[in-house]
Amino acid sequence: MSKALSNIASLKPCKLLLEIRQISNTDGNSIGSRGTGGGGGGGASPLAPKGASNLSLITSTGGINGTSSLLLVPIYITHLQKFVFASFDPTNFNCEEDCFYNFKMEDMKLGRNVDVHKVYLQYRDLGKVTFTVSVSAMLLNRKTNKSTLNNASKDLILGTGDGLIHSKFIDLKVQGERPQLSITRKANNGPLSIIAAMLVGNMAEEEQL
Amino acid sequence: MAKQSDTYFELTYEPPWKGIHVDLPDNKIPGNYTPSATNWIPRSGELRTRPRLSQLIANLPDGSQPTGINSFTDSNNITHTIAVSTTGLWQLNSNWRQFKGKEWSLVGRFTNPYSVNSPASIQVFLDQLYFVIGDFNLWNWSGLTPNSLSSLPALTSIAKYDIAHNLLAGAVFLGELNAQLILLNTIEQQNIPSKAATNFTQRIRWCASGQPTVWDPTVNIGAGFNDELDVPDVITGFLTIGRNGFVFRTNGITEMTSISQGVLPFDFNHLWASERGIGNVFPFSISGYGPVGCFVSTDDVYELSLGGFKKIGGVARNAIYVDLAAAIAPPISSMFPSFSLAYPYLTYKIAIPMPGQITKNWCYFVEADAWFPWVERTGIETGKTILVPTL
Repeated sequence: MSKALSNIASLKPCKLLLEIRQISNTDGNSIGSRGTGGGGGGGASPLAPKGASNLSLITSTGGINGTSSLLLVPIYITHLQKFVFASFDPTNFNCEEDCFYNFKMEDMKLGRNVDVHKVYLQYRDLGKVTFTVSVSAMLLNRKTNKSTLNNASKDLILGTGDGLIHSKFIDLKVQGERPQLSITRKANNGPLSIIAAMLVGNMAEEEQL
Repeated sequence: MAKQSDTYFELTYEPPWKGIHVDLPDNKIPGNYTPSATNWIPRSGELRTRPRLSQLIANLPDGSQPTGINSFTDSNNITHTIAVSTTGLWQLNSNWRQFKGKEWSLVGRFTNPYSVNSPASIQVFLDQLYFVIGDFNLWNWSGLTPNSLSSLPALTSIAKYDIAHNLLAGAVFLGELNAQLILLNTIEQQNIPSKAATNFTQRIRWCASGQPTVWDPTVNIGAGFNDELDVPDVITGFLTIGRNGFVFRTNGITEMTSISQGVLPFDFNHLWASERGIGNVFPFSISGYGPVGCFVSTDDVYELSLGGFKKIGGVARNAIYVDLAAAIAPPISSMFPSFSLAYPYLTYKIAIPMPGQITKNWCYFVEADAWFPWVERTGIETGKTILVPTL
């Protein structure tokens, strides 16, 4: 056995004292200690010697692993009068605001009235949703030569959250020119995912004048 | 698409959903556009109610206003997610989900702020964080201080452009090009001994190459500044694409190209210097992601890429500008590659503060080439939306 090894063999076992302290910054916000390479929290540590002695040993102040990311939006919440950090959650389409979507206004033939009698909706079932399907059209009174808005709507409750594509026929009867399909959903009333829609009806054949 | 016999018809509406169209009357637009809609997102051929916005992380402990969020990885390979507020720099704690009310810890407070009205402009350079807040300081944090081995202050103001007189510089905008930090629309201490600060709205200042603490040209000729005297307007933003920097002005764009490491490291080419022209009208409407950047000019919203300029306002432009005209504060834009790592979707978003303390977001989904408006009645967005590490 070499001399160095014999010296090691003659060493006595010793105890290692590990002291864990809470580190606080000047505002009193405690900062959890980091794991390997993370170092302590912000603020001067009570254990800190004055001045850096070995740059290679300087650890980080706080920090995270950086393995998972989220979209952060700094926002001032009016009713709470607070500045917070919000996020758009792409796993939850139950939007917290009212939503509406107006489809194209349809000109079947200039000056012709149409009778819409059905709406077809193809959608993906993302969960229970309550929404309204409506069709509006302008009806021209030939005697007074004035138009009024005709409207029909139906409230629907659909969905179980199976994630599959479903179809739905909705009976809606409206007469007039330029029919327009609209979908509205009140705030927090569930996730809606539209794939396709269709207006079904007949065009009036009578002479215009 | 219409299917008709003599009287029977079927009118179908199918993807791709192309968003708002206000360039033609409601009855003349193509069937996959909408004359008006709010709070929808088109993706994979489906038209969905938009992702839910909810509070994720609480306010800063002192209740101050956040003006910017970002993240950087320090020299120990530790990631820091930070928030710049009107009072100082904060970082997100690793255990923020477990300990409510202890989400943020203070890194350092600002000293003698001249003005903190503008959103923070943040740049990561050489494993460290640099940012400006519209005062005469260029703030720096390494992610390492203070710690058990160093009593150095956490947050330091480093752009001393006149060492002999101890004068500091800051800016409204900050960028990086050619291994040099760039201050744009500078604010500089003047008038010894009062050291009152002056705003040079046409000035661009740069540090010595690879030395972000050296700003005095008498110390290192690599540092210097340039005043854009040939143009009639003020600097409103900065974007780098490849080796070129683009200095945005209200009515123009100046190309900033690296040419040497000497006394004149940059060449400035005003793409146009006319009194009226395509420029960045709103100071915080510029946002970029990789080789693509977007900004709002007087006549349209533009996309800037290696291929040149492209108008993207399209058939939604007029509706966007009606809202921009109604803004009660400067709009803030963001460009983010995804909503989460599992939901990649490159988006350019212009957050417009509207009367009634609400935000109207105009979202341009780059893949779909479609604009959709989102309304948030919850409140006003105060900084850029950004995808940052949170765990």
